[in-house]
Amino acid sequence: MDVLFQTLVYGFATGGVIAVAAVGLTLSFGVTGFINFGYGELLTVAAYTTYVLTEAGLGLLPAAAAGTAITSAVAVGVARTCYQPLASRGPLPLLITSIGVAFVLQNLVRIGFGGEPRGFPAPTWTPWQLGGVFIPKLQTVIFLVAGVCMLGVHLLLRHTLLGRTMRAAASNEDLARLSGLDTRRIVLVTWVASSLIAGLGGVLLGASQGDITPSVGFEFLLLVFAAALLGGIGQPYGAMLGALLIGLGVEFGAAYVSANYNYALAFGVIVLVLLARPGGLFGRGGGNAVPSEGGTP
Amino acid sequence: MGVAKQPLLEVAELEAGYGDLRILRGVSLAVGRGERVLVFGPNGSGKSTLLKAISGILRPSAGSVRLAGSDVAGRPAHRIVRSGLSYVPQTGNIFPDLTVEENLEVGAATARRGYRERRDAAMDLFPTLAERRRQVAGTLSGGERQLVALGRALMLDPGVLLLDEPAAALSAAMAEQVFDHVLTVNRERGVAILLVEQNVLKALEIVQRGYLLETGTVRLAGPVGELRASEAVRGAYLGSSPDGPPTTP
Repeated sequence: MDVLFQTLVYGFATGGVIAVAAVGLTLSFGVTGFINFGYGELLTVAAYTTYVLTEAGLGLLPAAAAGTAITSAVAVGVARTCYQPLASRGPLPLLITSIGVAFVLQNLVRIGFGGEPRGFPAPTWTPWQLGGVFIPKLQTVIFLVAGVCMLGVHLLLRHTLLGRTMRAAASNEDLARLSGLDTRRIVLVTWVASSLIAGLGGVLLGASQGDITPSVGFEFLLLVFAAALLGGIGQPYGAMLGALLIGLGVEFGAAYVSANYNYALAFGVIVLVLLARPGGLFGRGGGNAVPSEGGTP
Repeated sequence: MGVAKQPLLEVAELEAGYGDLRILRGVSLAVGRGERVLVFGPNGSGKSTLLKAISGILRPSAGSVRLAGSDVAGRPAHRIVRSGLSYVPQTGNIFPDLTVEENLEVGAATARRGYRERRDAAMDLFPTLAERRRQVAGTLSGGERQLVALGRALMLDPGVLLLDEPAAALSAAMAEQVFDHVLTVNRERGVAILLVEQNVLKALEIVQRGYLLETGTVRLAGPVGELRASEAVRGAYLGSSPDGPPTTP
């Protein structure tokens, strides 16, 4: 009972971190149309800058905020120098470039900090005790922060004009231009939003894993891809749900089978989804997560 | 003379294409304020390319596009639309993932002042838009989608509307309705219409003048009466017209 409950909380926390990262990835995919393999390194950069800034004496919250902002600056810099010049060449050159970007960023971190794990400055909270059941406090907070982030993304996409223009550009870029929208600016804004979310994801990832290495984000990206694919890539709401399923799957696998099978599980999900429902559980047809209130004729 | 002294839209010697492929070889045409003008011609004659080049989605390689006197050729599409020219492509003319109302709102995103009035006016013009306002546009029927496309295109109060085969892929009855809607937009709003249409017989009933485009140039131009009387048009486009026996081209 105790193990079950704790595993559930850990699963929600891991799912929350995956969800944050997957939603950020999905946002940029929707507008730019390519799968960004360099996205995991944004999480790594955020985790390491947060680590460095706390080492330098900053508190965790200001360090995390600054780390997130720095991550966003790095992401926009990379997008401008590496991705934008190739934007008209289609998704494949961009995808391959992003793999190169991943290796460069990852190894820059390795040059700076070495390959051995560093302790992420997560708060050491004692678990809550509720009638004999221990509830891990840190994991609960991680899940709540992830939830607030999801809510923020939802409000941005559904209830602000900026979010609607982002969705419009993702839905039909030519028509967005024909509606008077400067789509290059929207792409830039989307990079900023997506990388800020990646920054938050990196901080949460560091906090949930405790130790960070230069490849922490790259390895995590596999789980993020699995979640995004499960939800239907390009679908923010599908990604959120896919992430929770993957997170729960990973933690239950670790608790009841073995932690060594995490990536086997993720790969298994990817293969199964591609075989059975290439559009994802929520892709195509059920594609829009918010049901129409008017009903269909 | 159908053309007013200073046309609202004046295209001169426009050339455009894709890579080395030249499609428009110097097209000139004019649309006056509130006028309804048809562009027709065989497949591959450059009708759609013409609309793309005028609207800025495709950058013209030569020639001019004067909109109320100022040349907009070569400007990006999102600027041209703000100068009063809206374009409804044949396909991909709605945002399928957005609701009907969001489609309208995005259409007005660059001119928020007076958006509610323009939205309400569009919904008065086409009550279906109001009935379906919260429905995701991709789930609408073909005819309803055309209404969303028209509504979105009206959100920036254009002086001229470019329509690429709005009735294609619709049933005859639905096509009839769409043509009625186009007339409504023109009569109630005074919006000039530049229409590309394959169904020439039908289209000539709702326009005042027309241009016959062939291999990227204007082969023939004139008011509807002249076009109907022309051998070239009767032979190839009005074969089934009641006022003449079917002729083989």
